[in-house]
Amino acid sequence: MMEKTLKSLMAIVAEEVGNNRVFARKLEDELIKQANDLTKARELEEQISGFNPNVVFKESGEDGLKQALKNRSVAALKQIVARHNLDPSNQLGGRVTRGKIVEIILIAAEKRAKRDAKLFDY
Amino acid sequence: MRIVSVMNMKGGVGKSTSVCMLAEALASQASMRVLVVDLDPQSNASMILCGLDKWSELRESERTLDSYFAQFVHGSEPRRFHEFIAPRVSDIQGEPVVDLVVATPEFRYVERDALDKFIRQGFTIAAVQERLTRLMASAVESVASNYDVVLFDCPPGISLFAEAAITMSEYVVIPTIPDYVSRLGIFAFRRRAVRSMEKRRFTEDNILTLITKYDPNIVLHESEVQSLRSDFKTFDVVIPQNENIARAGEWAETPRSFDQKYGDAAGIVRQFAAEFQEKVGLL
Repeated sequence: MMEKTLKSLMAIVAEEVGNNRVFARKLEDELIKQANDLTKARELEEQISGFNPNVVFKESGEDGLKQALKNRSVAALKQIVARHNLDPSNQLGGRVTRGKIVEIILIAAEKRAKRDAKLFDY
Repeated sequence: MRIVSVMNMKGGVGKSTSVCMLAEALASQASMRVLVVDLDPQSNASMILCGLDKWSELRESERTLDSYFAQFVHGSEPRRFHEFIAPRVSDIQGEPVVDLVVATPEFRYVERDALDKFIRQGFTIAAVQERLTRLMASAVESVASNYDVVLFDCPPGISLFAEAAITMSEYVVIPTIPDYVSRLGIFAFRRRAVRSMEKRRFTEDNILTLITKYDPNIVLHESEVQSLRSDFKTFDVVIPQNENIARAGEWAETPRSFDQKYGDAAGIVRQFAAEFQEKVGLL
């Protein structure tokens, strides 16, 4: 059903592109923008996929985690914080620096490592 | 023959569902003979595997786990354990060997009555526990040659019967949802399980965590999966939150194929059974 609907909508869009230059250019600009956004999102995902700061801290300690965070972009660091719920009280706030995000990640990972160590004795 | 308990301190993590999927996959896809012993008074595994009508019939004819143990507690005419087993209960085509000892809500009273009676007689709780474990062990031993796997579906929390099952088990499978609260359930239970299993020289390697109800749309699930894999011995296979798995819980009067029953989750359930066989040495 969805496929059929999309097909008929695309036919209308294609017809309009053929008859309307302004519309065609607008559509092209939007497609380029979407493609760029998708590429950025993929690059970001590559930086954070499979990476868990809690696990890295447990396995390699503070220095190991610092090293692992070193070459990641600010956007990737923000995503890491969000994905692993490392700042539940939103201490980072709106204006964030790279150093502040790294600090938050290190503190949270250390706290969790200590907490889990206690849980093993639970 | 392998004895395996499926347990977690926490409820709602998919224990009964995991037991039923595993039993049906092992029996119908790997031709194994499986006995499921439902230790949970909620009776979910019983209802899933044999349906409400059969469960009611077994309850009325007193062929339930609580009736079996009641004869030792209340002293009725003795019947052997095999009389309590409902054979080939699954609704999967071909009558795979999924046999079942059903639980009923009355099971919780048997445990309470056992404690009451034996403590009045001067037994300690540890002695009552030992006695129940012996009774359970001799029951399973009496039918052991008929099966390749015995699966205990344990209730949430620790009960005397669940403890007995763990003591007898060579492996414990802990289903868990990948979230922090569910992970706490493993920590709480793990030590106790190790202590019970150590009596038979089993170690933490015999405790296997199964990640269940995984939802790829919840980003925190992925984070927790990584933490679980780092902290515990886990199955590689992850059981997703899946509509067909939920639907499979409703017993069908007309037998169906394994693929019809589990739909798009059939492959995952097969993988789970195959990995289980490998991990518990059944290959």
